Amino acid sequence: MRLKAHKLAILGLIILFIEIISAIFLPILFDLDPYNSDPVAFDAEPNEFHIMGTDSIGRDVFSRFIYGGRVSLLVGILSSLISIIVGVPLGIIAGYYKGAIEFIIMRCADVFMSFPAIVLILVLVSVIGPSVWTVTIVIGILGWPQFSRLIYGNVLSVREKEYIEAAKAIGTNDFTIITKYILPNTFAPILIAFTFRTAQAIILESSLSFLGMGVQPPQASWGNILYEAQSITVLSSQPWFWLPPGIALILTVTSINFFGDGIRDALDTKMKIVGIKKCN
Amino acid sequence: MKNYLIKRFIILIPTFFGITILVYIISTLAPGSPLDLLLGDSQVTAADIERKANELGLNEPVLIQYFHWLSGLLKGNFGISFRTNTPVLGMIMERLGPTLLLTVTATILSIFIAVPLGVMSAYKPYSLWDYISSGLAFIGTATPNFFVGLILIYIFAVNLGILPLGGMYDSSGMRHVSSLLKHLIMPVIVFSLQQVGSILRQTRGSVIEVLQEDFITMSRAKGLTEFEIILKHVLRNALIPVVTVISSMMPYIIGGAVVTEQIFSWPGLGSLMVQSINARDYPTIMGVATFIAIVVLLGNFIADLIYGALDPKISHNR
Repeated sequence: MRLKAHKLAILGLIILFIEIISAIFLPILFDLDPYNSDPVAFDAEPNEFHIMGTDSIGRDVFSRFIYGGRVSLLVGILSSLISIIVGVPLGIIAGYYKGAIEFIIMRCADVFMSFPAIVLILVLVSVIGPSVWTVTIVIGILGWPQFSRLIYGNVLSVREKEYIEAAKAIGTNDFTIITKYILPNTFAPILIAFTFRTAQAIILESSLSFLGMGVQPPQASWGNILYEAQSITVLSSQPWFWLPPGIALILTVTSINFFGDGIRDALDTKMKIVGIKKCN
Repeated sequence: MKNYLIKRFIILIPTFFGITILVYIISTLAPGSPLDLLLGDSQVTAADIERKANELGLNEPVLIQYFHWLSGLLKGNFGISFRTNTPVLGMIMERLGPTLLLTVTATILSIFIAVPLGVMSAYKPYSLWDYISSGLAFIGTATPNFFVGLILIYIFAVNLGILPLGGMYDSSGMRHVSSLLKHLIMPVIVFSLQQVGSILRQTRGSVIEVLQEDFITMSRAKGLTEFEIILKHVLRNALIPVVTVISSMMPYIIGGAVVTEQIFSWPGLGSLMVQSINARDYPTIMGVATFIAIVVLLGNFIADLIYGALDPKISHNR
């Protein structure tokens, strides 16, 4: 089972690598243009000029697909980074200083986690106004509980060790203790949680864009290409339009999950990783 | 047990204030104010506007406004919709039924699928059952549910024509149960996929753990059949975390079907949310959000209760 997971993880990594390279280089290689319309082709079927056809305004679907990949991947990764930046310090403070602050932070984490994410994000985005940056920041900030809880658990377990006590005894200040002793133990769990959160964030962004509340046209993202598929004409007569982004989403999220499983198995031999959940 | 209950209830109160304050702050950020209509009218004098503002309580400190809003909330006043000019609570109640029909049916379906599958795959790891269940769990968590919905619509409604495209009943206006059931199938499948994954994983994990306990070996030594062991010992212990997971899905049952409802034009709370957002109907947006927030609070509390009731280790140690 370990070996099989290992192979799947490598497969996942390869797929992700291909995606990232395509997203960065294909637009340059093929001179892709997702924004301008081709005046002779509206709603065109796949042909030699447009490998995936054109949409109702004449834009090349393949270009939008690749550029959409850029956006979806970037939003996923950046928002998870934001979640780390917000969540890790909170988790450390809660675990290290304990007491009332621990209670407040962890209680907030509980409440945030039990709220259906999509509703919370929808409300915030509707008030602030949808755009790719709003979406990234909101998804990012709302991802803090997973990381906080994780770090909190880690800090709690490391806190009681003798070397921490010894460090305190010789007068090391809190900041040094946290950065030198506690943080290094958290790198692996953070990395694993980061991969799973990226997958989740990609799904969240695509759901939002699908509802029209995420990345706004003319900018493309896999989710907002699928937004077009809500019309029956597109759905029934232009499968080349909406199948690729959907399949790309599934492939990406799956690869990230496999890769995350792989890292987790690889790193889990010695550590008890507290609180990692693949939540929806 | 009573102490545990009281403790959880006491925690509920500051959490309630915390959430409502947060919701209130967000709603003040929303554009639009009750004075907009007046401000646009050139015949209205500044004094009139001032008077109206005082009447509506808009010149008072934010904290007082918050308490006005909160007391209104507790009396059932969730605001008046910009779009329909009717009370928001009424709109919520109208849409609550369809949402619950969809989500509760889907949850029950998920439980019936996921729990037996979870138990089976715990008993026979790496067997065919295990792969089927891992596959299902995986589809549930890795695929965006709207894509599954689109594919289902494409296959069954567009190409095969056996299931309807969306909505809750036929357009004929007659509300037959058979029509309802046909419209219910695809949304339920899509929604339950999301839950099957987590219930399945939790069941499998906790059954595997329980199976390793000594008292299971003891029961086998005593001569109980495997089936009896499952019923009397395994399930009772293994299902506790599963029940917790399910009860923690309560907020999700009210508010989580947004995308599903949108694809299938299902007239529930989720599509009300999307409709309101598209119409910039902020009172309704905030009203639905507040409603869901209250459900989240209650849901957490009930989940804690259930967990405490089921697991003596939790309630008796406090």
